[in-house]
Amino acid sequence: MSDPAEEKLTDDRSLAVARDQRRELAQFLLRHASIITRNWAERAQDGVTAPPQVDLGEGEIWEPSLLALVEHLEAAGPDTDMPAHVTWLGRWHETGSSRAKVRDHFHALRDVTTEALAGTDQIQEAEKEALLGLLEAAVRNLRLETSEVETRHLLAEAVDARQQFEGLFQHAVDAIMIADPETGRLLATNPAAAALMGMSKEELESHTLGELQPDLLRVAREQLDESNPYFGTPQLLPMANAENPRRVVEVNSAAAEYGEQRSAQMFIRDVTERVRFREELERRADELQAKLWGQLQETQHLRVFLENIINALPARLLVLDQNLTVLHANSAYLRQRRLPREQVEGQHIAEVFPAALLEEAGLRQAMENTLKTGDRVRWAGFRQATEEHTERILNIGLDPCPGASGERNLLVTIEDVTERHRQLYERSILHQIVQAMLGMRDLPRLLHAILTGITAGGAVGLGFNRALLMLADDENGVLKAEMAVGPESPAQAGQIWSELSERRTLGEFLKAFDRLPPPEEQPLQKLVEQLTFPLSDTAVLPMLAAATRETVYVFDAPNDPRVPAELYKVLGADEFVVAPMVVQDKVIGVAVADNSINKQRINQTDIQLLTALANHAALAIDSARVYAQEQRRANELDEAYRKLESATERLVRSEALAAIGEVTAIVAHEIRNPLSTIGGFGKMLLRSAGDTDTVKRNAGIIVEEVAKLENILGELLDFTKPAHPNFANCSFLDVVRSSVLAAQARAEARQAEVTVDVPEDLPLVPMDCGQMQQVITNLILNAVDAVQPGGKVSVTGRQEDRLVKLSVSDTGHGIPESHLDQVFDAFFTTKRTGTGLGLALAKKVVEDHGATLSVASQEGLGTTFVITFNLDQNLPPPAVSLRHREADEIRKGSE
Amino acid sequence: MEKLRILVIEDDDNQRELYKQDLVWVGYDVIAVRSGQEGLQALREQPVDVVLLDIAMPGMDGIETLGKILDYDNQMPVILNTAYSSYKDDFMTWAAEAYVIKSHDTTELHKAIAAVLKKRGIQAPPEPAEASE
Repeated sequence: MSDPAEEKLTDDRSLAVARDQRRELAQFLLRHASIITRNWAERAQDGVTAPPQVDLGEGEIWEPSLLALVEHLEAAGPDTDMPAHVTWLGRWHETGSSRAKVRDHFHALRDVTTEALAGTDQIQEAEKEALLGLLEAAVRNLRLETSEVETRHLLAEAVDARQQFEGLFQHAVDAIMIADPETGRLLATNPAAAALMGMSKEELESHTLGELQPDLLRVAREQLDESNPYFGTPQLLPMANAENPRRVVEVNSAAAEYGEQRSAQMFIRDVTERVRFREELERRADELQAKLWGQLQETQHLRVFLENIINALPARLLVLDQNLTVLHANSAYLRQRRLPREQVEGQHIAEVFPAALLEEAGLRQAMENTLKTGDRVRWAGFRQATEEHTERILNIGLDPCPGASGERNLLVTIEDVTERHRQLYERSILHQIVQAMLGMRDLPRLLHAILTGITAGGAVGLGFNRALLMLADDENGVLKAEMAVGPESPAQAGQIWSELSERRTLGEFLKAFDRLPPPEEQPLQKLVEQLTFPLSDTAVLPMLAAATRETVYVFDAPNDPRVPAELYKVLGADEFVVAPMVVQDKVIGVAVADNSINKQRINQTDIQLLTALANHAALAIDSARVYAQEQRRANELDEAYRKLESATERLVRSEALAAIGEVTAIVAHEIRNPLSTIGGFGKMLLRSAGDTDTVKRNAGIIVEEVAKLENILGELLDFTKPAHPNFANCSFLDVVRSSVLAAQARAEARQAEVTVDVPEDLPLVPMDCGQMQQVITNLILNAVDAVQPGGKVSVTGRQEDRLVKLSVSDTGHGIPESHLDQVFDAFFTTKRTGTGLGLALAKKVVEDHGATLSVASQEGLGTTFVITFNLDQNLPPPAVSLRHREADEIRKGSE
Repeated sequence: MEKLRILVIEDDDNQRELYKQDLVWVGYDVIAVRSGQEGLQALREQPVDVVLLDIAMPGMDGIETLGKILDYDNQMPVILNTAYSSYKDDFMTWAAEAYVIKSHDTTELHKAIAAVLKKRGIQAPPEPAEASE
């Protein structure tokens, strides 16, 4: 807009030219409105903003489209003056569109029109050029017009501003007076000024400033004078009136132009309330100050009181400033350092504090850090070597501590916890030993743990040189040395202790137990193991301690009447301690400890610790013994359980046998057919080919083998379905003789000598003679199989009261004990051939008779089977069905 | 004197041959058939003194055959011959006169035959001496 070339258009001539051009343009635009509008719309789609709508009031919306513009220009007619158009633009401007935006739209109008002209052939080129020239001029003109609009608006704004000022002036709360600073004459006043003075406007304006308040003119002049110190500074002036004789006003003046005249514009405000309030405030502040002074006095007292406390504290306190200078030290600190206060306070920490702690332990750095960051620090367990060559343990605290003016100082708290540590330490040793003893069930291990606890040094045990445990043997009524540890001589001690010094915990000590030589090889052990005292000898040591339940400290053994000579002789120590080990009323024993190697005096703490340890040890030993008892009982139960389990297993197996039996029956049937065929043909062979030796021999073998197989099958089948006994009164001797006869062939083959010793007059017992004979035969055959050639088998019958016992003994290899309870199990066999059913069947048959079959054997010496009949067990012959009898007859016939 | 006639009913060829040879050796006239049906047929075709009957046979088993034989002639001596000892638990087998478990040793069988014959007053041929073993 500030382009000087465009400025030229602002003269009237230019405006007139522009007016003509615009008319021509309007007519052209109207002619081609449709094309231009279409292009405008297309441009709008390309992002050219359409001009905003204008609300003309009364529901009339004016949309400043190009067409509307053209229509407007046309309606205005060729002679239209500028103002109509300006009005239109002004409206547009009022909508908030910026001038630049209006211009953009007109540029767009120009561009669109140019394009429209280029795209049409209805207009000749010369005309087009003329029109484009018109357009350019119109755009320029438009710029001129917009600046004119702007000017008008500025003027309107100025008028508005004046109106606003008038409003403010008239309605201001503050009194405003415009006065001549030379004369003090009032040029203008507002209603508030009249109200302040309690006059009418006219009455007020007839006064001068000096008449209103003597100082008013002077103040106004001072405030207007840039060189005066009160320039532009509000001033308070008393301005009494009838209502308020203490009224105070605040005056502020500024230079102003009033017409051509230089004037003072004075703003005057009633500030009586404010001044009064401030006075009140000051009064209260004074009161408060007085009160604070009183409190300060109290604080002083408190300070003294606190200082007394601080000085009475056992903990040592120091307050340091940022430079580590000691501001304050309490009495405990001064006492401990043995320094007067003036040699500490005001000194640098390095001057008064032990350097070892400050520099080497890094305390100084920590102090500086706390002063810097304000972080609190707690250091526990500082070890400080003292001049007396004893170690002190310190807890040190560093706390930020605000100083008098809020600066950060440092409070150093030093607490000596050496004694507390020592107690904790002792308790922890005891705790460790007790922990190690807990749950130790093995008595030797436990005793070793106790002794180790008593003798181990350092952080592990009580540190005695030697220790001995004596336990009460109630059965023999004696207190007997059970276990002892410790070296025999100082030389040996050195060796042992250097070995042990590497072990840090009791656990590590105890691990060494497994590597120790057996107790009987330990020197001290040998020394003490003969040491026994009657439990009843409670007048002297060691039983004295157990009887009185008091730990006894002996420091001059040779001359102490409580020490028996025997004890002194074995221990060889003048000074020792005997601690009782008692649980409730039960004397467990005593623990004896001494320092006979390094001769260190036994102190009160040692005695107390030993007493406490002995107490715990007594409990542990007692529970270990109870545990051992329980363990034995548990083992017995285990054994019983194991037997029960085995019985159950056998029972299960016998059930399995039932199933096996069924299978066997089927298998047996399947085997029997071919077997009988083979055997039968064997016989045929014998019958028909009797003249050929080889054929005879082979056939004989076939028959023999088949007979064996059939025998096995028979056994299997019998076991599956054993026959019921068919009772009759039989002579034992007859049965035995038959059995021996049946076994004769095998006995001869194995060169076994079978002897029979059965009295003829043994009572008759009802039995199934056939079955019993089979059983006895079976036992004899087993015996024959068991002996070496030349071995002996004896069958013996005896009556003992109401029992009749028939035994079959051999001089064979015997049965291993582990097999003994299995020999009657079905399918159990140690023979190379055999079904393992023989003895099982024998036992079943014997038991069917109400008798028992038992076995006794000694490996290498022989085995004895005994059938025992009880004559009082009156077993009536059971009813036997025809079927059974027939079946049995058939069976017997087949054997 | 005409030989006593024994009907052997046995499905197993080897077994059947064994009994045939064995009983012929003892001195009987032997008719050997492979099934219950054939056995019943044989009974109708000629007089038989003793029937030796196997139990486990395919088709009509020994128990059923036994019933049919007794239906035909309730005086007929039948000897059950089987490897299956548990068959004696079946009450149907009670109808048989005797019960013999199969064995290479046919002595028991010979005794059983002699016994049933003896009940009817018939003398069985004497047991021939075995060749020496």
